Amino acid sequence: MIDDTKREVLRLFAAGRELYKKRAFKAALEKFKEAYTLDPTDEPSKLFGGRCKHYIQNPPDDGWDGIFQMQTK
Amino acid sequence: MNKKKILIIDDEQINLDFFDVMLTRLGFQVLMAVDGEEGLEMIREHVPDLIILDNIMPRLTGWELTKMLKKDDAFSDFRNIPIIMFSAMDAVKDKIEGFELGIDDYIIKPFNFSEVLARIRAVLRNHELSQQVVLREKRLTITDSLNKSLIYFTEHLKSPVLGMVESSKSLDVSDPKAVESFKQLVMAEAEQTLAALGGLEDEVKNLLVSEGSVRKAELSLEELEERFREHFRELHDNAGESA
Repeated sequence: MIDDTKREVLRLFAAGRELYKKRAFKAALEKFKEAYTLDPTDEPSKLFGGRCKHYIQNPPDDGWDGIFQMQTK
Repeated sequence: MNKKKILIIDDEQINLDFFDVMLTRLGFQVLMAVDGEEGLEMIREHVPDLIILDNIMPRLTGWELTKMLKKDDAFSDFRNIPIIMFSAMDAVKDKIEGFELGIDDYIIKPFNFSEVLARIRAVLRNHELSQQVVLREKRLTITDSLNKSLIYFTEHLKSPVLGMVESSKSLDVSDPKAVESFKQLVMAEAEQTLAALGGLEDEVKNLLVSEGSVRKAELSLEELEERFREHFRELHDNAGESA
């Protein structure tokens, strides 16, 4: 049985990913946030939520291919 | 191969000249400064691989310079450059203080050049080894996050597929309405599956990029040894020379 919470989290994650790919990071962040508020153990939503926050602060180049470049020191 | 840069900071010109000649012959790039302040400038500008430092100098002493490099946040980029300190004083207290500040070796003047070379080699080698350990640790961390991502994205993949299986079990194919809503469900579930796959793909690519850049900087132990053999093959020829 798949519970309704999980289903909703997955729906929100998919919606967030669509927005993310379109560089709508603020809107995407809202979706990811909703997802991990529903299920705080949902790591993928947290991961991409964090990336949205990063890109809101530091918008990616025009050639951005959707791949996050890890900031290494 | 990139030449290792060694910065000598000493107020005695004769020592500078001596190191310049000997270390250049061994294939190092030698930088020189006559006091601590000039030394600091050189460190900022050239970022040497090793600093050889006299402890007693006018203006900024070796101690003061070391303290700045190791403790002052303004110099945090240079904190890991290894330091060999020279001293005319064979006082245990000074040595201990030096090591506590974070110097890598302490040599008493007058010195034997072969011994100095052997110590330079040991310090450079140790430094390189510890950097390799840091790189490997980074790679372990990356592998670790990759494993975790695989696990948690798999969670996202399982549910939609299970959802489809479940719905198909109870599907009455003779009912066009049921077929239509099943189709809607399959579309939605497939969309979620693709979203999770896309996320995982991003994550894997991202980790591979970082892994690649870490791997590029990594050396095998043999390569490391080879690097040092280059510089020190003349070590034996110079045995006995001293300053």
